[in-house]
Amino acid sequence: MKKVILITTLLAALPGRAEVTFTKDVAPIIFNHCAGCHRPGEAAPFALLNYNDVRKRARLIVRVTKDRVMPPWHAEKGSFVFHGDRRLTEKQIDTLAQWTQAGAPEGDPAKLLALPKFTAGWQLGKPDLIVKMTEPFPVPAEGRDIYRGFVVPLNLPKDKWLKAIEFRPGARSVVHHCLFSYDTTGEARRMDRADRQPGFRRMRRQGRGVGSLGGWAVGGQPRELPDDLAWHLPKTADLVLSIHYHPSGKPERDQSSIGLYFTDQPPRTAFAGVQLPPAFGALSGVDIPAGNKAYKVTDSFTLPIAVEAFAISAHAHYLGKHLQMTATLPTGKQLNLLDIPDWDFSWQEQYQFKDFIKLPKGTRLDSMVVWDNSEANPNNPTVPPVRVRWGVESKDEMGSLTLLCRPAPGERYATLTTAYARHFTEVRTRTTREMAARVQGTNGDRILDAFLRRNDRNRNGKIDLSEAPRWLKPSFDRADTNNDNALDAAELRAARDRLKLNR
Amino acid sequence: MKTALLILTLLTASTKPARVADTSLALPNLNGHALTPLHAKGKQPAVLFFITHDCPVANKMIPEMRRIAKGFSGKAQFTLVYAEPELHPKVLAKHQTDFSLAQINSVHDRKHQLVRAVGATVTPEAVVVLANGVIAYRGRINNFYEDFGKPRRVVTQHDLRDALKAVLAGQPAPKPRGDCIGCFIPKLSGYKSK
Ligand code: HEC
Repeated sequence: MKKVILITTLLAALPGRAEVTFTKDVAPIIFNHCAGCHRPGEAAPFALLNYNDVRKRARLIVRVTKDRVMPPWHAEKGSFVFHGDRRLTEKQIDTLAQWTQAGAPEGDPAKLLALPKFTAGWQLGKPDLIVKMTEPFPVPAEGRDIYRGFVVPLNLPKDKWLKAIEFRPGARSVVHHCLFSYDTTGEARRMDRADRQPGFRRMRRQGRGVGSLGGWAVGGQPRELPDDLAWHLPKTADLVLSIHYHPSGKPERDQSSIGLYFTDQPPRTAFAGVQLPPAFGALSGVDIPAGNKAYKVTDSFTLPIAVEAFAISAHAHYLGKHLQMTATLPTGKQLNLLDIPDWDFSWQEQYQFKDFIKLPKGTRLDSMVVWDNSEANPNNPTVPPVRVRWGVESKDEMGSLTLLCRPAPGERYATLTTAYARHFTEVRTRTTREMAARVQGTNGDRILDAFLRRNDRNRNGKIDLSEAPRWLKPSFDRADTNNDNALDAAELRAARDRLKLNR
Repeated sequence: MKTALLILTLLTASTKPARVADTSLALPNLNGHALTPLHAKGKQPAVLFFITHDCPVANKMIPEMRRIAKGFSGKAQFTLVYAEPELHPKVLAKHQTDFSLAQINSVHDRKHQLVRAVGATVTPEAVVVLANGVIAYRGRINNFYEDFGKPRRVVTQHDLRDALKAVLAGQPAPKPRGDCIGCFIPKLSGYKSK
């Protein structure tokens, strides 16, 4: 026994098996990959800025890095590098484990490297316009996480080109992520007025007059749009924030600030978001049975022109599980654009590629969204699970991936948007057909009646226009043969039979 | 014969004796008054909540700890134990205010006397000690966290409440149905002396 100990001691003392120390091996990992969030005034709950901070949490650090819970980063390694990729290498994770196992030795403190310089205040410099939520929003000590919309009037003197938005959370311990958009329709203001609390529950409107402006998540670094790209911000636009709050155990009040960075230089070309499936999945007939562990929706779109992609994002609610987009080049080569195998609603990031990605004409984009509506999914907001359909409330589901791209030099933007508009219609038609097919057969009338009952919220025996699910709206007028702005059982049956013949 | 078998079974089943804590252990509360966190009045069980002031998992569960303490008040004695030797009293006081902890007895376990007495390893960990010092339950409060970074939106298993109900009914406490997720309590040697 003594011999064994002697031998191990000798081995450990051999040159080349140098001891892993904080100063030499661990500090570079922690300072560069953790300290950005784990320092006073940032989102993480404790600092990791010196030997003692790290040593007393050594075991926990090993556990959360091995599990890849920390640093937070949900995308798998894909075909391209993202800005701000936070993942540690296997070797780094191993170093942390070895160090902890060796008893977390400090090493020579004199040789400790300096902490990175963290910029105080606005990261992108002084913004051209600083705005703030108009009033603080109270976040209770606990309970469900909260998704809340806020409207911030910008009062722009004229239309602007927007290069970047920087978000500074008011109460860092509870603000988890924020999506930005603009609204020129006044809808956000109306919803805000109608809601007694600060802010409002959710924007319903999409499409004309409303546009996405990216987002921010805990630890995220603000970034300008690449090259000469810019968002067009109409003069009448209000800024709309959709903030996701996580109660922390103590009550907080949040009044976040936003810095906007403009440019006078209009971009050479506009850019488009290719969202698959379109409309956050609204047209895809999302209807997830209770308990279903892997409900899947897919969508494909072939690029009509060559494009240069620069960013990608994913969106789903709590039940989202696996979100993925691939590109298959005309040569057959498949590229992994974004793969999130374990979706977490709390970490909605905007992934910006390090370099523009050139995708030739004829490239097929494939997106996949998988939802897990089982009780085993810790994110399931309803236990026991219930049937969940598409909707804007957080207990409903949405799901899609969006690739941001601009036309390659010499290509026409309109060719891309026209083809995408056609795709939008195709998806809608396909879903309507499938729905009709589902209500065929011997059970057809019964299913149709159940459909009527379910959607007839005001109980007048008909589906009014306002009660119609989204996918039904485009064909509503055609089905409404007596023009009373409502579909009764007879009209629904007739519409179904017409669709059957069209197939 | 049957009786002998039964006795034998009972004996073998209890070869691993339940851990017994020394209930006389006294520690000052935050105002300096002596408390016996492991010894309650009468035959009441004593419940300890181990926390660290900056553990996100522990902090998110404080409202539930407060609710349990309130719900079982008069039936069990509750103590909140700060298991961090080097915690500055000012930081501790701020934590008490931030998380509205005035209603629950709190102690600062500077020398890990309580940590050792009951074998606590994680925050937030709950321990139930019977009047005779037997440790009836040690583990998670509920299944809010079943894994790191993945809080449940709906808590479905209330392990500590179930254990308390059983103990108060004179039954053995069911074991926790999952690991206690949170922040490890480092050994005293894990702290640098200042
Ligand atoms: C993008 C910001 C960010 C980065 C980078 C980051 N953390 Fe965290 N960390 C957080 C947040 C936020 C929490 C609190 C999580 C919560 O409230 O549940 C946290 C919590 C933790 C916890 C407590 C356990 C838990 O999951 O609640 C540990 C340990 C930890 N981080 C270690 C690390 C280490 C080690 C690194 C670097 C390798 C790191 N973190 C990098 C934001 C970050």
